[in-house]
Amino acid sequence: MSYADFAVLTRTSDQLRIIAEGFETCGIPFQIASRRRLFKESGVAEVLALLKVLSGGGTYADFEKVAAIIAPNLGRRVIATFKEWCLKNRLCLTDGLSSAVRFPIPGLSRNQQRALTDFAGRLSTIDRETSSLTAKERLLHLTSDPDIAAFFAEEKSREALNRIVSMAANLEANAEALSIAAPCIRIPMFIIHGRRRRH
Amino acid sequence: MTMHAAKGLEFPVVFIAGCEDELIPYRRPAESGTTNFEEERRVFYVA
Repeated sequence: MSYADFAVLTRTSDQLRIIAEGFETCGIPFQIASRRRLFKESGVAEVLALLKVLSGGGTYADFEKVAAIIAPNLGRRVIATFKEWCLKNRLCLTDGLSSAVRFPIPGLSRNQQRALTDFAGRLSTIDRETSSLTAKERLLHLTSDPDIAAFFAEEKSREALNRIVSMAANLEANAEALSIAAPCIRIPMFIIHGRRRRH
Repeated sequence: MTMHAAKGLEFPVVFIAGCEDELIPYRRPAESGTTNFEEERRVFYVA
């Protein structure tokens, strides 16, 4: 038997820290399997936010994350003004972006509005380019973008990405996995498949 | 890993740590000590 054959289960994730400290003290090799943390890993969170925005299910928090990578020059004030305008007009993110292309947003200069519409244009280009791909191919395509790839320079982030990619591939190969996956895994996986489920 | 994350997984040896009052079944401090026994029973069964 190897160490990998042993599992220690706890009721709360806080207990894991205490157990990990114990293992460290005793020199027992271990791995904390927390998928929730995997989805919060640097880079992975951004890619998932981008997938959410592309699938039409993105929130303004996702939009801010995506803007920070794809359009870092957009500026916080522009994002805040756009968000406020959308909320005032009761527009979801997708409708807000398509409306921003057609209507002037009060409080934004012409250049700021152009930067915003360029960003919306880039998002729809990415969507067009990737909508026919499988979940795995889509993830690989998105992460090959130089702006996004910069997030995966570190070994730890690359490992997290590989796990997400293999989860997406496995899920596609075996849809049954969805029914046994814990809810915390299921939600981001639905996001990955969001586009495909809609059509 | 947590008991929730273990759903659908199998291991030759499993330890369930913290089988003591207020942890399993878990009692939420915010809800003035209420416990959903049925839900806790299901989580324990999965583990």
